[in-house]
Amino acid sequence: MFAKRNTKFSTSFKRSTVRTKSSSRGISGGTIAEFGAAFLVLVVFIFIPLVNASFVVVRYYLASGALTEYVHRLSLTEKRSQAISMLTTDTWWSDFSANCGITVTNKKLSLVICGADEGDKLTVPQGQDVPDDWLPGGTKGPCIYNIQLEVNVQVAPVYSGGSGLPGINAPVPMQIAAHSNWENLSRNPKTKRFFINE
Amino acid sequence: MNKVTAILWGFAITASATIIATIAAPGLNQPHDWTMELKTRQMPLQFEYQGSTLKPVVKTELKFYHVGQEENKTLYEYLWYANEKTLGLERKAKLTIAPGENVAIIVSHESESPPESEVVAAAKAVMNAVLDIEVNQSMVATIKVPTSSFNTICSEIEQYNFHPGSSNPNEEVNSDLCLFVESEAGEKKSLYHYN
Amino acid sequence: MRTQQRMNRTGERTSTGNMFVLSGVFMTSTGVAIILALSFAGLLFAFNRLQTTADELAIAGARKLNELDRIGQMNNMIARSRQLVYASRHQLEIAQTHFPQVVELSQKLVDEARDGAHELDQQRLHLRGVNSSEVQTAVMEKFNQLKERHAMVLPWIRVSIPENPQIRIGYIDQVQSNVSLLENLDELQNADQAPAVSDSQSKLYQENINPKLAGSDGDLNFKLSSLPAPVENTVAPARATLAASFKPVPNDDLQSAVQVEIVLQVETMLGAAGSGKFHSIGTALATGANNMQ
Repeated sequence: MFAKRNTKFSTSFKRSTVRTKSSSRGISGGTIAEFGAAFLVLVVFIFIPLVNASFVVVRYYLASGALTEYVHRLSLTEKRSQAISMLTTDTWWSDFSANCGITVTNKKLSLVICGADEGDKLTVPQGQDVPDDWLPGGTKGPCIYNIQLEVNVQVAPVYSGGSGLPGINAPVPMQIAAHSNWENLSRNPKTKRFFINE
Repeated sequence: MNKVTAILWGFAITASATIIATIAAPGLNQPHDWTMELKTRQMPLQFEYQGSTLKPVVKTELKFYHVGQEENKTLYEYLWYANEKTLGLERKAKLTIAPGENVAIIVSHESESPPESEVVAAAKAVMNAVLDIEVNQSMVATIKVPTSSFNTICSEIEQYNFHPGSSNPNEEVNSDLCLFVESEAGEKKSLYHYN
Repeated sequence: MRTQQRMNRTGERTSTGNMFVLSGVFMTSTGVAIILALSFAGLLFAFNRLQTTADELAIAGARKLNELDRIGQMNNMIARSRQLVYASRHQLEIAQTHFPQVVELSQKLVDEARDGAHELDQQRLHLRGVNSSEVQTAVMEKFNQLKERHAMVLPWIRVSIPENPQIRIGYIDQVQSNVSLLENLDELQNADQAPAVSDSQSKLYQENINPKLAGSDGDLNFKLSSLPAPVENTVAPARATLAASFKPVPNDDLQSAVQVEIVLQVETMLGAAGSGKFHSIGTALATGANNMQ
């Protein structure tokens, strides 16, 4: 007569950390499959937020690429005033960004000029003229002229509510900038002024 | 006839001959009221493209001034030539020479040994200047050219129906327009009549 | 909390389980999805690169157009040829009325001026052909240097080498000719001050015009083309410009701008295969004219 082995596990049973077989798992500890709550926490609080937040990176990447193309177009305009007006009239970049879950605010256009000497750098804000020394042929030259567009954006993750943790369930505010070489360094034969100052 | 009379006749004949010789062979001392300077120069790097027939370009600059007022020269016009063709004109001022006054045209070249194309261009520019002066009711007193260019300019002038005058100073000439061409040192001289 | 454990017949916990594998697969697929998303987003940068290439090609072509200021010189000389023909004809008319003795001389000078105008017009047409040919060569040479940098092959996306570019040669809208209004021939100067002929503010002749002379010389062409004029001593450098400002030249005028269109084939092999084309247009204006020598 074989004795019935008690196969039921009871709390009073002394746990053994010794493996009974080499291939068997120890009876101590708990697995995730055995611990549903932890599994839930892992998926809900780690994996899904990770995916959610990674879209912020992808969207930032898209916005940055589109901004590069946009500022390139601004740099091809005839006059700097045309570039400034294009910020309001040509909204393809803002529209594209909105479709990608990015809200654009506060566009700031400036001209960054690097002179011949290493430390010579000047930022000319929107609406101001380039000083004579920094114009083509001026004393600071030869200069490199870059048009720079800085924007404040709100990059939303996939699931975004009104407020919450940025990147998790709320948009991430950031500032991105792009620049492009200003192309038109010639002068207006009607006014004799440089187009960069018109 | 006594001796005194003979001497007087001899003097008169000699003087007349001198006067006639002077008239027949006009020179540097031809009186003139105005001077027109005509200067030619080669223009490099003009019309540089494959198959261009417009090079080398010669630019001619014409200035005029009243004799004794060399510091007050007026730029009259520019003329451009290439391959013996007249290309263009840029008039810079009106010709303010009073009718009836005489003009001496002085030709010079920027380089000491100009190519033939430049000398031909100078000759053509001279013809333009001559016409402008004539239409202005003034007269061309003399045309002074560099010695090395004398022959070429003279042969070009002949292309415009100007004919060399006879060496016989007494020969009657039926022409309304005469041109006296001389080299800068005065050793070569030619007289041309327009027919 | 009681937890049910999987037990084998001997009462030991089984060694089978797949949570690690599941977690690994899940994280790997998440990573792959992110990489895919980034690579598709990277197509935007491929487009930016294509745009840069289009601009470079257009500038390479535009630089050839007015090499050694040949268009600027042609424009200036044509305007001066017009002055010459006008002045010579005017002298002939005066001679015929008041100075018959120099009519023949005057006529010969008119003929020379007309010959010069004919020669210039013929050379202008020849230069137009030379320009077209040299631009094509310059653009294709540059293209062959740059085309390899676009190709990208990934298992799920393929970007090919761009197709041969389409090249158009024209001018930029509202860029006048480089020729300043000529003076000192009164009647001609007055006629040239008409808005159709010259701009009153810049004192430049308009672009792509043929201001023919009246009368016997009306058969001659004096075509002036668009080219940025020098302003004091500033010569306009060759530059890229917006595509919308490019226009084809009317008739047989000289060209001063180049537009290049490149097409890039993109294919995706993720799920349902798909393909599309990126179009990019680069436009550039030739170097401006120098001051008349």
